[in-house]
Amino acid sequence: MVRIVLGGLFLVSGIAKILDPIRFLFTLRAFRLLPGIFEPFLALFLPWLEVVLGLFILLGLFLRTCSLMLGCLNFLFMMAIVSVMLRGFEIDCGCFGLLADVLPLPDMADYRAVVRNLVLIGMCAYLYRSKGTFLSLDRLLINWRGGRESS
Amino acid sequence: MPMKKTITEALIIVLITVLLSLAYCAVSPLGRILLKKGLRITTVSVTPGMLTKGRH
Repeated sequence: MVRIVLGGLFLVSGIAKILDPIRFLFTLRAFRLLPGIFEPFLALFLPWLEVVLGLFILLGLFLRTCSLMLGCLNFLFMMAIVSVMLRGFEIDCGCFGLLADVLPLPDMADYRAVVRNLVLIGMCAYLYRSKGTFLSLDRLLINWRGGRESS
Repeated sequence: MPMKKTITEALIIVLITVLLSLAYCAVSPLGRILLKKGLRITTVSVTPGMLTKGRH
């Protein structure tokens, strides 16, 4: 269940950002955290990273590594939002990309975004610690390796 | 070794992401615009409309 929610959320929000990368670039720019030269590369790379991590978590491939990476990513997002709040900016967090226009989702960089990120980090920690590989490619890989070693 | 396994898997994930990003740049005009024009613009006073094709 946690896998479906976490993986699905990042897959969908990553795709929403990929569909409108210019908007995501401007969101990154509004945070004023990075030198301008890095922003286009990050605007290109980050949505794809979200899609890949979300997809891998859904499929159950490299589950522990993906949950660790996603937890670190969420921690960085949370720190960026906290820095924006401390500097007194009122901007969109850009978490859901295009979806924020279509669905009534909270997309401001405020305390709600911090709480949301904390919940997501908690879910990542739960996945990292869990040994559940129900319907996952990790289990298939383990079985395949076991089969090869025994033969 | 679990640490080595984690690093290897993380590198695979980053490599896949980089390849997908490059493929997106090669295939999608939006990706090319993002890199070409995004790098040129250094001020925050530019409106998103200026980044659409054919405006300048």
